[in-house]
Amino acid sequence: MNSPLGGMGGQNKGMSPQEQQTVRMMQGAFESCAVKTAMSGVAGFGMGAAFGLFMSSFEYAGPAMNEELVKQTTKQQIKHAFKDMGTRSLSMAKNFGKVGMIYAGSECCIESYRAKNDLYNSVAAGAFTGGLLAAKAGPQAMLLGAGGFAAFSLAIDWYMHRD
Amino acid sequence: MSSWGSFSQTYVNPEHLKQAEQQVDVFMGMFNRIMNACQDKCIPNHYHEPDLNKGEQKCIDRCVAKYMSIQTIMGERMKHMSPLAEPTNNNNNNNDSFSPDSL
Repeated sequence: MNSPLGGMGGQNKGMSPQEQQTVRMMQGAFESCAVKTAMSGVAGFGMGAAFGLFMSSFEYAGPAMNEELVKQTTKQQIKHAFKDMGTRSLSMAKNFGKVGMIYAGSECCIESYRAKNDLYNSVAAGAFTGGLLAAKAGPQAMLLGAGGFAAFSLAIDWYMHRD
Repeated sequence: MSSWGSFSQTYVNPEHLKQAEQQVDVFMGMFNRIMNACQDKCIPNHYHEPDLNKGEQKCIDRCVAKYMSIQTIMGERMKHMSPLAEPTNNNNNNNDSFSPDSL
């Protein structure tokens, strides 16, 4: 930190001061907690849709088919298969999106509160998310879910940030 | 900023120039002190990425806000303690000599 005006000056020299301020405001908005949560939700939704599509295609590839389903024409079977794939991938997408949003939102809030950046943020966010997801199944399941999700997110974060 | 291309020969009052230089010195001294203090407290030594992340941004916001509020409070106290001191610039100079130690 030798020069006080160092840093981002390189790319922005061609713009007027108002444009630089606008760019800075946009970049600040993109780093806010709400936008991060929304983006994580959208990404989770997309990944869940792809996952659901992948998993639901297994049901129609195996030998376990309904009796009355076989009697219908091929076109009707395909339509039925597509509708089933759609509903299943939609439900998985919603689940993944919800999990992603809760995790990203809680991690951003915890990091903003602590004003520090280390591994404890992801552990706490994972514990919160796991506990929230398993809240309906009783306190023991909540504890287990919180511990498992926290350990998982700690492992992933440690792996991504090791040097 | 576009009119700074041609340096015209207008007369500049040396009084104003001296005052402007003093103000720049005071400001840069305060800026450097804030940067050193907040860098020690907020930014750890192992860098993973070039940009500030969320925790560091919040820490720097809080550090600068606390520094400025402490400086204002000290300014008020100094004003009461030495009524013969000159206003604004010299008060800021007196306050800057009491830079806070690392807690």
